[in-house]
This record gives sequence, structure tokens and C-alpha cells, in this order.
Amino acid sequence: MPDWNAWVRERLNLAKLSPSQQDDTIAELASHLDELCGKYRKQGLSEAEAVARATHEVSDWHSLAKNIRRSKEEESMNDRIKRLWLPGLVSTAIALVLPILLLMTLTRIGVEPGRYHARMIGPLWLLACAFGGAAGACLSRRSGGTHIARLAAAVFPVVILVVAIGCFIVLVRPFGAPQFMSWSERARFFHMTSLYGAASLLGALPFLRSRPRTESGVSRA
Amino acid sequence: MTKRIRHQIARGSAELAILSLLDEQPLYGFEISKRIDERTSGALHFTLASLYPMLYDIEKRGLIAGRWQSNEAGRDRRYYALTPAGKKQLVPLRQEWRGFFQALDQLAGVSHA
Repeated sequence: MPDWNAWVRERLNLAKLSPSQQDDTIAELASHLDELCGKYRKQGLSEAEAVARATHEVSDWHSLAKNIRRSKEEESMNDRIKRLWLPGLVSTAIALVLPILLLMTLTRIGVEPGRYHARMIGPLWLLACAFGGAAGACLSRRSGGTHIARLAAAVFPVVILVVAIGCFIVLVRPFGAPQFMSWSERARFFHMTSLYGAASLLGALPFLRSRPRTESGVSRA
Repeated sequence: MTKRIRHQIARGSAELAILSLLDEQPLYGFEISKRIDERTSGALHFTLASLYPMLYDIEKRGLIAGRWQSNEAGRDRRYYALTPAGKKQLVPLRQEWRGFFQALDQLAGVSHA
């Protein structure tokens, strides 16, 4: 019998897959060919005949490699939308809308607007970030998102804020505009966003526990 | 019938066959193709080249999950099992095919039973 592992590796070009995916796939196909060969031997074929018949299972190795790569390749655009972008947008929407709703509720129940509201915006946004982070991570997990996708969906609003402010700082400079934020304001902004990021991650924490369905379903017993 | 529709029917029936088998018990690739071959008296036949891309695709969609296990002889095999999402998917898939065969039966007198 040939060394099926080496035989398959020689013919199947899975270069775009990770080394562990390549090893797993090659081992699986080699095992299949080995069992097929054994079946033919039991049917009374000689070893050479059994090997020849087993190898006829694949007429075009290039096409097989292409189909396997396509089937195993990382998440498609559609998956990415479901696992990252959509949960991220939901998380952002909650982080933006929830403080406004809470402030409106406070006004309705008689809390005086003005100085109280100004003080409340920070804590309310913290709360909203935690809820938004939880919702984003939960949605991402439901769609089979990896841990990284869930975390990214959770901190999405904070990332958008940082990117937006960062772009603004960079863009206003060439036009000779007065400094948008002083260094002390930038430091305050950094502390504030770190706090909001931490709140988002805290909200996401319960949804990081279980693994997604297919993230690492391959494990050798 | 266009090539595309033929391809979709072949693909859909193969997916139903695999999910139905795995609904009974976890199986490895060779065993899946063997059982399909036996139970359909060779009418449905999977080669290595047709089986594995389909298995990997179904796995990527979260309907089945693969896991390496060793048997008593120490041989490593990758067993596929239906996930809860796969079980959920199997119910409407069966209904769709039942409906499809009923429609064909009414139209062309082709009974699937």
C-alpha cells in the first residue's frame, strides 16, 4: 500500500489554507483512500488493482483542491456581515439611542433637565455601552462569530468614536485650523474611551463563554 | 432543465442524504459514502471528490461538526455529527423534498415511494 498521506499531499494543493487545516484535510482524504483500498482488497482485488481503483475516485485533483479551498475558506462576506458588521451596528445604535431614551425618561418622571443631565450623560453612556456590548456579542455569537468577532462587535461604538475623532484631528491640521483638542483634552478623551471600551467588554463577557459551532470543531481525541 | 437546476437538485438531495444519515448517529466520511451507496442500492454514489467538499461546506455553515476520534485499533477518523442548527434545518428540508416529490408525482406521475 502506498503512503496515502504523502500521496495525497503530493497532489492536493491547499496552499491557501492554514497548516492545521491542510494536515487535517490530507489526513482525512488519505484515511478515506486507505479504507477504500481495504474494501477492494476484501472484494478480492490484488493490491495493485485496489490501489488503481481507489485512485480513480479523483479524476481532477486541481478541481478537488479548488472545491475544498472554497468550502473551507474563512467566512464569506455574508458571514462577516452577520457576525461582525450587523452586531457592531446594533451595539452602536444601542450605545447612541439608549442614553437619549434614558434622559427623556428622566425628564418625563420629573428630574430637572440641565445640570443633572450634563452629569448623567457619562454614566448613562457607560451603561449604554455595557448593554450595547452585550447585545453585539450576543448577536455575533448567535451567528457563529468567533471570540474576536464578538469582542469587535461589542467595542464597535467606541472604535467608531476613536476613529472619527482621530480622522478629524488628522484632517483639520493641514488646513491650519486651530488645534481641535489640546493634549490634556486628548488624554481625557483617551481615558473616557478606555472606560467606555471596558464597559462594552464587561457587557460582552457573558457571551464569550461558549465556543461558536465551527470555530474549532476539529480536535483530535 | 438547465444545468444549474440539475446541479441544485443534485446538491440539495446530497445534503438531505448526509444530514439524514447523521441524524441517526455520527459517522466518518468513508462510512457516510458507504451507507448512502448501500441504502440507495448505488443510485446515489459519492466519490471522494464529491463527498468532502460538500461535507466541509455543510460544516462551515454550522449544520454538522467534525471531530477526530480514534477507534479501538488506534485508527484516527473524523466523525461528523449533526449540530442543533443541523437538526433544525433537517425538518424544513425534508418537507421541501416531500413537497417537491408530491408536485412531480402530480405532474408526471412519478411516485417516490
